[in-house]
Amino acid sequence: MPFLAIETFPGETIQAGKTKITPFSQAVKLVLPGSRGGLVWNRPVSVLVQGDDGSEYVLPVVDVTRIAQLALLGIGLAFGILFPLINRR
Amino acid sequence: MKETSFNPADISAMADKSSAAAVESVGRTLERFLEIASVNSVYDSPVKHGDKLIIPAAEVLGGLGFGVGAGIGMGENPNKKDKIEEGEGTAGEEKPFEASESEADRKIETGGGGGGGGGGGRVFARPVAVIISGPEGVSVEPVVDVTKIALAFFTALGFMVGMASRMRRGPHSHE
Repeated sequence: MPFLAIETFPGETIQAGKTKITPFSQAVKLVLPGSRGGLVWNRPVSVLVQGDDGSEYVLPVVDVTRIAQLALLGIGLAFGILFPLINRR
Repeated sequence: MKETSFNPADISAMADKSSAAAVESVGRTLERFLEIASVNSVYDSPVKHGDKLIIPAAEVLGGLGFGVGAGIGMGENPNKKDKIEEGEGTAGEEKPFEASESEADRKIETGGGGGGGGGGGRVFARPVAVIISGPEGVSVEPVVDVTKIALAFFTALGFMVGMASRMRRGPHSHE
């Protein structure tokens, strides 16, 4: 079993009227040495949409909550780094 | 009462076997735990609502940890030692041990082993988005957790206000 593995899995294709939807998920697996434990982070990444006319397109699954949290964290850190530099001048 | 003599190699082998069984059990549990990495744990079964088909999608985060241990202990049997001393002091009496027993066997008369283990884990799931398929096409609608965003906002705001007020006061304002 590898220590760290990042894998993308396709799900079962769902028929919705004339459209076919195939969901995809990405899993990050972390296994501690000696099989003493592990961590799994599994999240949806995208869906593949196939129309009856043969058209195909991918819709990304965006985690708005995570993006907002990271943005706020980034703003806080940027402020913490830049404010002392500006204030010194 | 007949006393049983312990062979250190046997005790060690028993402890190793017990430890190996525990590790194997832990490995099986870990493999089952890693199954949450499958796509079925992220996308739920579709729900039909009028002419629309709704597929909920969630983020799953799980952690698991184990610990197992085993140990053995061996020592001299004090009662037997007494008998040796008594036996040596009495002429003509039968010795308490057979002649074939080695000195090491005589000394290590008591022993035991034990093992134990424990573990814990937790799985978190959070809705991320909803995939909606209708007559107008397929769309992905995000699920916004306002509470989490508000918490992150106030944490960042508190940090920035605290930092700004500390900088305005100057580095030696407390003196």
